[in-house]
Amino acid sequence: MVNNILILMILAAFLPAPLVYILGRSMGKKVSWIVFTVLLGVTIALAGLFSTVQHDVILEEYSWVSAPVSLTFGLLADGLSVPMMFTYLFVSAGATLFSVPYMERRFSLDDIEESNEQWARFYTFFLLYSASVGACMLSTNLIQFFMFFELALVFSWLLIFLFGYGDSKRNSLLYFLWTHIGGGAFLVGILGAYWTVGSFEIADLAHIADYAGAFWVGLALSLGLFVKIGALGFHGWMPDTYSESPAPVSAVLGATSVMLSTYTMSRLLPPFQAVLHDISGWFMLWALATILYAGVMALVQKDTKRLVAYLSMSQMNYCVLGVFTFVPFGVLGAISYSISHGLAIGLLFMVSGALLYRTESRDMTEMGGLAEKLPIVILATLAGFLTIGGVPPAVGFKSKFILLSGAMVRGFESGMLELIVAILAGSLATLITLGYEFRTVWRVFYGDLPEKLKEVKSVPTVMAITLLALGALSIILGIWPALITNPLEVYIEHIFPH
Amino acid sequence: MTVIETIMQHPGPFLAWMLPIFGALMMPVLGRINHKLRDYGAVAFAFSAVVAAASMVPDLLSGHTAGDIKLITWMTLPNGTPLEFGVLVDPLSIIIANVVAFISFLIVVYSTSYMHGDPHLDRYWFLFLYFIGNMLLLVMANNLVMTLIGWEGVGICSYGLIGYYYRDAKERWLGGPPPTEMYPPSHAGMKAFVVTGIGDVLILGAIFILYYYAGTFNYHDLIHHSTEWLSHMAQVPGLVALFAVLLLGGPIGKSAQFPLHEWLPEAMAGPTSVSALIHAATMVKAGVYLVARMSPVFYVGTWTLNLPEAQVYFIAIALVGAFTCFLAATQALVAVELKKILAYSTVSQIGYMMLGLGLSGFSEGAYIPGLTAGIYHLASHAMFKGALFLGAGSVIHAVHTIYTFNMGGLKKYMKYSYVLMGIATLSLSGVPPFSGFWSKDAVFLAALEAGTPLAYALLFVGVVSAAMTFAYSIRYISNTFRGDASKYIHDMEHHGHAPHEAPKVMWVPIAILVVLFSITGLLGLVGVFVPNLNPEIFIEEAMHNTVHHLLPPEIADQMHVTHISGTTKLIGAGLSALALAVGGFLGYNFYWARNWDSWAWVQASDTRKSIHNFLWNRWYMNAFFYRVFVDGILNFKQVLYDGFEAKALVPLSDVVASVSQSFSEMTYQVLEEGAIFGVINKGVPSVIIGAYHRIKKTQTGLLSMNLVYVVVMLIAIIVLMLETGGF
Repeated sequence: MVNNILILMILAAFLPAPLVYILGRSMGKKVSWIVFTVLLGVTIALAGLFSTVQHDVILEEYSWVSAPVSLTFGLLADGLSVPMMFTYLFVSAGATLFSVPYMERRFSLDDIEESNEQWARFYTFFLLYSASVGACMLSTNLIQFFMFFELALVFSWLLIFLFGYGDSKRNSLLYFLWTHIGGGAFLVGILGAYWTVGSFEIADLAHIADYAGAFWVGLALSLGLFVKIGALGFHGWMPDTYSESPAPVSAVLGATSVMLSTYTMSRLLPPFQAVLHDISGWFMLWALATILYAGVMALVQKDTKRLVAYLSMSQMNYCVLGVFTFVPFGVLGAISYSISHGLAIGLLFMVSGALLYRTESRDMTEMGGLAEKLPIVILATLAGFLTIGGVPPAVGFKSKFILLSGAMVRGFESGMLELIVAILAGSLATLITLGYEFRTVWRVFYGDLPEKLKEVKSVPTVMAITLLALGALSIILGIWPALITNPLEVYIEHIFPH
Repeated sequence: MTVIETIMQHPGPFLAWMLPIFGALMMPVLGRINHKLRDYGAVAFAFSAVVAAASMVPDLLSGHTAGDIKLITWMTLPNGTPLEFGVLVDPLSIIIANVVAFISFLIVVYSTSYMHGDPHLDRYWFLFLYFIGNMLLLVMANNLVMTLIGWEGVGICSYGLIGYYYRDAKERWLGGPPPTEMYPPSHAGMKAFVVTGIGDVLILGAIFILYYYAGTFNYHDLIHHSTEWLSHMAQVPGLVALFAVLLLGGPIGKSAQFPLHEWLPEAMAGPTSVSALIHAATMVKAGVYLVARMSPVFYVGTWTLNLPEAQVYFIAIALVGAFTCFLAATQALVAVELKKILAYSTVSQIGYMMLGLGLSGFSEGAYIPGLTAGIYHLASHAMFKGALFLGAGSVIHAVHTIYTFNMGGLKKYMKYSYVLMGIATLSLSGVPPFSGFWSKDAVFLAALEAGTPLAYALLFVGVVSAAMTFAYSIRYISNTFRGDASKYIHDMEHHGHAPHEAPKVMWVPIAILVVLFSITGLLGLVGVFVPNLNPEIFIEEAMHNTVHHLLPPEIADQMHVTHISGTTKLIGAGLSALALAVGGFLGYNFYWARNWDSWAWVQASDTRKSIHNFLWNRWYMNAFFYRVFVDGILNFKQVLYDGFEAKALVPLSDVVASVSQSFSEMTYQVLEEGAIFGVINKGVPSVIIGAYHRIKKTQTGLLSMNLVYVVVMLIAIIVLMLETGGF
């Protein structure tokens, strides 16, 4: 294996950015191929690490800051980070491909003029955003993590602000503020952790539960992440941001929310198990409330993208529920469900984008009978919905199954509250999920084709390829879950030794 | 041993489900090449499943079945146990796999003609083969997770096939005639998936409980070690009963038993071949199979561990089965859609199977007879109901109407269909010597063998339902084929479209089924004198073998097969005869000979009219479920959205937005001047400055106030944490 592979991956993702900007100004949309190649290249490189992380970890450290605190710039690839970053970048690469026809339409329809400058900005920010999120997942210390986290926020803000629909100023600011409230709480947690254990290294947190104040550090970190994952009450930014961003941006934003938050929770929070155990039942309840609340909200939506936004908010909180069970099955389920959900939500935002692209509408009441006109889109929709609904053979079945088993185990061990949460998450929430999914398919794809949609043509080839690729990965991982669960189990064994 | 080697060694149980699933994937590909190739390909793949299933039959006959064969480790459970995917080859799975594969194959052959010319056959064949593959997967699976995968696969295919005519053209709607409400096919598909989904959620709960206590999903391990984990589970009062009820939830949904039965009458919205597949061969049988498969666990619980709670499993399913049997039979008496009558009849007949399985736990000696009754009736029902549905398809194909009042007098146009459906109807009604008589009789015998007061009460319900079965059978067969042709048929004839017999490729599969259940029935008759040839005794031994291999040896050895005494058999036959006499008398006079006018009889009395309305409206259960669950949830969510999310949260977001405008002003100053983001500043200055200026224009006067507010809040939080000893 190449030495220093991780730093090479990071550099490969970040360094082309200026080049993308400069070339983009002359090449226009063709620059997307550079971004796609870069993201796919890193994804493939990560795929090569899967077998290594099943028995080993890859750790690279570079000296970075020596004063006032000494920090190393560390990169860690293990059973947790590799599958997650792989899936995330896979979705990102797909979104890049998808964005070419989509953004062309976005420019031609609306208030933004199409120019090479715009294409250059879009792809530069898109690449930097994806690279920053990926870099978060490899970071070994909290300052480095936070730096990439902030970078990701800035670039996503720019994407929403510059290319969003509607009142993009308001939406992007809402996004910026809320995520910074979360970021602020998270920063408090980071500083608190330093105060407590005297180090920013994530590895040094392992015994934090023995220190006084660990509870508050854990609480601050958790609350910070709850904003990012749109827990009920902290979700004000989510529907608007998701639904008013261009579809490929929504796709990566959605995938980031669920995957980065779950990654961070499952990386940082297990050491806090002893101190957070008492309130974790209430966090599970909070997650359940969000799942149910957003699920019911999803039932009411007429706008395809708002539907996906609420659906995503609802489903993401399964991961919170899973992590806070603090039992091996729960955490394993949360991680694998976040991978499933990241895939599915990317897919579904792209589906809503494809529908907008072809029907020029986001209003489901104006749709119907599209199954025949858009066969690839309905296939992709079903793949996404099956994943989210936890129906085999999609990967969601396995993940939700593990997650809910974990919740049940926790319920049996802890008490009534946790047991009831687990039961309701498995029953009522599942039924609501099936309800809005099948209602949507029915409204959009079945019944009579409205007169003005008679001329709808099939989606462009690149869109079709992206949709099918994401759908196919979900089914492949569903049939052969060991591909991702084997590395994940190594990590789970590491944090919950027998 | 590698995966390939394992499959090579035992090809039957694996290929039975792998080939149809592979075939399903091939359908869109073959469809691109040539339509004929695709259609014959579908037949070939369905046939390959028959061959694979049949290859296990010699083992069944010799009594040496392969048992649990593990293929791959799907994943490792956190407790370290590997979850190994594989198959469980025992008499129970072999019998059901053969019934499923063979009848599905006949339906596939029938479909090639029935669906001829449909423009979306790629989708049809894909779903059809995938359906068959998943059904066989769930039957052959060696663990509950794999069964659940097949289970959900069957569900998703049924959703696609019931809603096959998703364009919802008016002539495809069901229910009615107006003013009774009608439903489009896509709605019916969704209803099937969601209602069975309720059951799936329940069974999932049971599986989670099971995992916690047993730590495995493998059937053999579960049953073999049931004494250990059941006694552990029994320490929590009520848990075993809860587990039993949750576990039954899945089968109750899948097999359309009360209270989750309302989806099945609408499930014939798809093509009739699909109805035959769902009603006769596959889906609804899945529940019966699973109840039988898990029953040894509760047998051990009830009789070895003496846990009264374990018996809840049997009592609950017996009650549900008997009640559903009665409920659906009453509805079949008044229904006017030919396929819907058959659908109610399916619900009712599955009630008998469930009743049989339930009775198996009423006394220790009734276990094998009860199990036998359930499985025997499953196999026999699969044959005659398959024939009936396919026959109904031929009729509907010929006359283009679903209502029996638009038919009448069809026997002169469709002789074969009349004869074949007539014989199948006799079997359904339980007329000797057809298979339906023997298998229904087996249920009665199981009740007599159980011998408790509750068993006798349930037996009474079963006998009353049997009488109704004969009555409604005579009703639909007379209304369809006998009497004078309706005005509708005359009109058809007038326009030169006289109804015609179905083509050979459609009636031959029906004939094969009729021959099969007739032979089974005759063997039953011969078997009275030559026990070796009796199908019932064959199934009884097969069930005994199945249970014997799964149970721990010390329990299995104590189990003995009780042979039902001659007197009991006579009583059972007498009860059947009584039911036939009563049902036949009423059916003959009302419908066959039409001595009495049934409609006038109903209209003559208010009580009868209201009973008729009650039955016609499906005991008001359908309306009740819609009112409470569908409308209830839809209204609730609107109230929640309008009242809370829209009124409270959106204005709040606006407030937050204006605050954030100010906040971002500050952030961008930091961005511009700060050292950390200096790099970005240099890289993309124009954008940031542009943004900055745009924001600056909309800045509110409350900037400083908002900033102060945010800072004060942050300080307050930190102080609070310090005060409470956080740091």
